[in-house]
Amino acid sequence: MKGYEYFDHTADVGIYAYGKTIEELFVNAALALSDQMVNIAHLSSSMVKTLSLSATSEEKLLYDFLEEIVYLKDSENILFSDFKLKIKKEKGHVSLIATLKGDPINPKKQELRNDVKAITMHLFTIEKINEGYKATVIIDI
Amino acid sequence: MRLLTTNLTYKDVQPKLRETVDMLFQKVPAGVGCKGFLKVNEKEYRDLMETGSKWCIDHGYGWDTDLKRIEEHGCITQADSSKVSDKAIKRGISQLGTLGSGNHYLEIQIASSANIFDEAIAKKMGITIPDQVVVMVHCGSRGFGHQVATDYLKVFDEAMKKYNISVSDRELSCVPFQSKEGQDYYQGMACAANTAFANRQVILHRIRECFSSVFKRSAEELEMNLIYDVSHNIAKVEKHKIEGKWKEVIMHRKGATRSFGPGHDELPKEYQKIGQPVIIGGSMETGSYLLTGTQKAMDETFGSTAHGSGRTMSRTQAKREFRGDSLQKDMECRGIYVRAVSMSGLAEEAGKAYKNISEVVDVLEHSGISHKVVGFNPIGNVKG
Repeated sequence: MKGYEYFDHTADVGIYAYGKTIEELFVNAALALSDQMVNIAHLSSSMVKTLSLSATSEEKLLYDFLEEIVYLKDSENILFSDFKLKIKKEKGHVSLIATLKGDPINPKKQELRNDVKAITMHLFTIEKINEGYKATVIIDI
Repeated sequence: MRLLTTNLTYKDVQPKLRETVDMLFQKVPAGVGCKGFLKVNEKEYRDLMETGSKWCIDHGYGWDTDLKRIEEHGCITQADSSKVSDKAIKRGISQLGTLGSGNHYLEIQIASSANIFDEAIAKKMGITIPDQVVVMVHCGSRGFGHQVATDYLKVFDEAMKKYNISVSDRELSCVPFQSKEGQDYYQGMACAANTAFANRQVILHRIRECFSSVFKRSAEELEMNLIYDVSHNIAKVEKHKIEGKWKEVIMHRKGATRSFGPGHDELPKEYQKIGQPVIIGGSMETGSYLLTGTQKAMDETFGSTAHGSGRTMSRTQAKREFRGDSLQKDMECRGIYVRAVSMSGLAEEAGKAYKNISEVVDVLEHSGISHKVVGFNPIGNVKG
């Protein structure tokens, strides 16, 4: 099973992310997002961030998680390429604790790509497929 | 979009084109993670988002005469900084004076005689000499405005249930304008619009500094006057005549730009007779246009027109078909010097990935919702 792929969308970029588990799906969606902003092969793990998020559905949690990666790019100037996370479902809530590893943005060391402006809710879905899960995300470039 | 004149011609600029573009590339940062030259604290940033371009001019980044040539005079007065999140502030505070990436750009362009379609109106806007050099800027409020939108998209997504609203696309979430959520968003969005006016204002200041440094004359001597600044992702309260009666409406212009006709009281004195300047950006290879708003736009399209050429090719497809580095070399052979942070980003913006701008503008002219005045050819471009 491939981790993620991009699909054509007129002015923005579409992501299909896959995962055997919901955690793997979140990681692959985050990698797809990061790979739009920087060549993730150029990143190491000099910076570590921990995130704790909670939402009323898995879809909303994924939206918040990806949005946080865009936020950290602008507010703390960090791009990430290593994501480890645990997702817990409780009554009416889904929460995650994630560890993100990456580097400060440095155009001299990294091939920078698109400055992602936002995660959109257009077509945003998580669906169950035979092999696990698939997410559809359109990012605003 | 923002457009300014110079009194330089292609002959003046061409020998110093590389130097000028290189300096602009350095002074107006672009691309992922770029930080602006203007350092403000949170209080100043809040003041700036409530007062827009005026804040910049009060702090030395522009001329008093700029204000009247900006949509809403560079400030939507309903802005209230208490309606924006800390996240939005943290995203935007270090980005003042930056271009961003995607289709945002700063471009040096030429108005050749063959591209003057209405000489009298062009003169009124300051396009007076053959092969005159102008500078066009396309960018907005950067991460700040997007965070405001993201924050309220989530608020609206929940609130829609309360108002019994359902939409086919959640990105189009909405609430009644007179609701608490609606008013909060409007006041927050106004902060984003003002921050965009302010960002383009400090960029204008930087452009004036760069030209002044390269051409060894002051920006005043170079007649670097603002022609106009107009938004194309915005919602505003406006009055329009609907079925013979004046009504106050919320005008959303997303991928559309304002095109107010002659005589509108929002326009400065010098544009009263000709209508509002409308800036339409094409691709970095093919050129851009300056038009004016018309009465027909007031009558038929709520004073609105198209904002650009529009894409024919997705970004992914453009990257499959073009390479940024060879495009850059090819454009340089054709007299267009481009500096870009990202080569893949450059490939995505190839001219062939966009519709033919001249055809788009001709449609606007023939439909009567804008009047074609000047076409511009690019000679230098800064991209993210």
